[in-house]
Amino acid sequence: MSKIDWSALFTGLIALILSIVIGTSSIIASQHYYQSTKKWHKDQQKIFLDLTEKRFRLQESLNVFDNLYYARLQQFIQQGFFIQDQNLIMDQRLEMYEEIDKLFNDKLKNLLFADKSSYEISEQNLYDIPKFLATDPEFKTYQTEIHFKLALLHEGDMLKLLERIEFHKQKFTSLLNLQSCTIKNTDEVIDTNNISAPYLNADCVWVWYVSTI
Amino acid sequence: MSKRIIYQSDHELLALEVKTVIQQIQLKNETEFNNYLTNDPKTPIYWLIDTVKEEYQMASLPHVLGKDRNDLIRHKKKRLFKNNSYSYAVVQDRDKQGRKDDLILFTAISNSEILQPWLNLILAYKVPLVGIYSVPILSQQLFNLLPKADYTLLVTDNPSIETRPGSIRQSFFRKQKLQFSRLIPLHVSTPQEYASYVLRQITITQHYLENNRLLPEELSIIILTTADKCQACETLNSNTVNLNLQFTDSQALANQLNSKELSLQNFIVTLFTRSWQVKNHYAKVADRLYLLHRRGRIIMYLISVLILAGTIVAGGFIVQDTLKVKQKGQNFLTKANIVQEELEQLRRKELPDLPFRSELIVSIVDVGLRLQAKHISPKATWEKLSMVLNAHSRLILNKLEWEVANFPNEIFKDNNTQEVAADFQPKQYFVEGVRVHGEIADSKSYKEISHIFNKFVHDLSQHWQVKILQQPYNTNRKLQKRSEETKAPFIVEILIPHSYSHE
Repeated sequence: MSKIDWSALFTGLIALILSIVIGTSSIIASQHYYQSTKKWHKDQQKIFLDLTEKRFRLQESLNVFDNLYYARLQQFIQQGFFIQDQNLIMDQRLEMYEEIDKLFNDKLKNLLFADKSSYEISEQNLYDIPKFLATDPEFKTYQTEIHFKLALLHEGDMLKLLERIEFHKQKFTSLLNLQSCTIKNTDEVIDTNNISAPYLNADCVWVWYVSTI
Repeated sequence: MSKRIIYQSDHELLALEVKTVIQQIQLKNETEFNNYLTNDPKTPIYWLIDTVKEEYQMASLPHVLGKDRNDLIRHKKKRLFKNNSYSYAVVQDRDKQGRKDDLILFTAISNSEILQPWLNLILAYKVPLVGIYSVPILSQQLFNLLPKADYTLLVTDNPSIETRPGSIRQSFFRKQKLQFSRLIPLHVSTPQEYASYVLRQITITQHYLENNRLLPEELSIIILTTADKCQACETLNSNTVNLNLQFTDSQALANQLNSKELSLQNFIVTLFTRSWQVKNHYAKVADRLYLLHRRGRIIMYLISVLILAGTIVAGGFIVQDTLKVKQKGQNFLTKANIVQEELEQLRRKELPDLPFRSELIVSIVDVGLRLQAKHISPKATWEKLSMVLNAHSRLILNKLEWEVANFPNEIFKDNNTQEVAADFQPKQYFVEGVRVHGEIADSKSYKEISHIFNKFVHDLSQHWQVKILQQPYNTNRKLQKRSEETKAPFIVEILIPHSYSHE
């Protein structure tokens, strides 16, 4: 077997290596160019879409905006639904806690079987504003769910309880909505002479809303 | 087709450059050969050997293929030519009878020293050697221009010139395939002497063929020489031996080949040059090392070109795609600029002295009003429901669910499969939902259950749209034989759309 004379293959090898290097480099460079252009394209698209959305919102706002809007804004600010300074939300929450506690332990007390009733206030989280409202991205609404687990004597007490909460609602800053309520009979057999046991369990969720920028 | 040819005979070494005409340079010694190689070490060389020291042996070998055939041929070569390293074998035909053996021509250069000095220089200068070729074997190609017969003796001559003596080559062909060849010196001056000498030599060769039983048929003898010599041979032949002679005028053949020289050497070289590819006869792998390297180099160049072309094409496609993407991006940029301008124009329309941007104010008010609108009490619905239930003493209410949501499919978390009615407009409505879980007590028959339940649903339908989620009876099984204790549970759902408008 004859030995390979590498010197005779040198130019071929150099050409091969060069072509691989140049070829690979050109592919990498063109890919890099493509990727960076694609990113630029996406950025431009995003800018365009953001601006279009902004223009749409502004157009919509200008279409509907009138003096009533300004008046309503003042109303929502006074009501405490909109707080410009985020730091004040915590204070407002604490006030809400106090009011709920007062409501539960005082105003509703004679309607409830206190030992079998409780409430729980969940963490504040961002309210998912429905898309059809097309709000400003800087505008944020937070929600806090308040779970009432109530043991009641009968349905009439439940209606009274709702009325009292509604009456007491004026004490709350911002907006408080009843979102859901589930009423179930207890397993107790109804005895009209025995009013020491609850015959109705209600599981209701109120939601407290506050917004800011 | 241009080829660089070295033509080596026993008396001279010629470098032939074949382009439109054959240019011939005589290389007298190693120094001249050295210079010749140095001038152009890259062009491949074809080496033609025309020597008296070439042996020919016909042999028949069993018809096998592949490695077995190669082994047999190698073994036979060793037996025939011992250690002669420059040998060649070619399968020409097969026996028509018996084992139908392969008929193989074995040739060898008996004195390979005549090649070595030149070969050493070729290798030293790394000149690619395509092959070493036997001129008698190449002369088979002449039959494309000569009359054909099964057994032919081709007689050609090289007239003497200053640098070399004249010679006659007699080559014997069976079906245009070389069987053996003889090169004999030629020392004559007149056509008559030539005729006398040639016919004598032909007769000797014919006797040899007959004695060796190589001539089952009449031998066709072709004499390829000048017209005057042909004439002399014809006259002498008819007067004396009366051989089966055919004459070919070398001038006519030269004209046919567009060649000026009338020698066999020129005819062979011309035909060889015109051949696309001729298989190497004698050169070994080691001798052709630099040809293989050259081919390797060419392959590498080709691969390099392909890689470059491929990557350029691929890169071109990528760049083309990139330009399309860039164009799209550019369109977005242009549009964005227009929108930006429009946005600024709209900004100028905003009322002055507002505490916030108008979009923000609209957002606050819209969301606030929406949430405010959703602040409803279940009292009204429950009272209405209570009135309906009062009219159905056999119904027992186990559980009542109530909820407010933006969409029908948002209501009751386990109900997300519910489809939103196509005409439901969330901007203008939100939904109050009630789910009644109850049962029909003391039911005695399917018919009774059905009646009570349908009446209940009918009464609800007077106020709202009602959807039955669970029937109190199984219509498939038709539970006719219900025991008295058995209760019939049901679930109905009521969705009440509330219109919303912040006007």
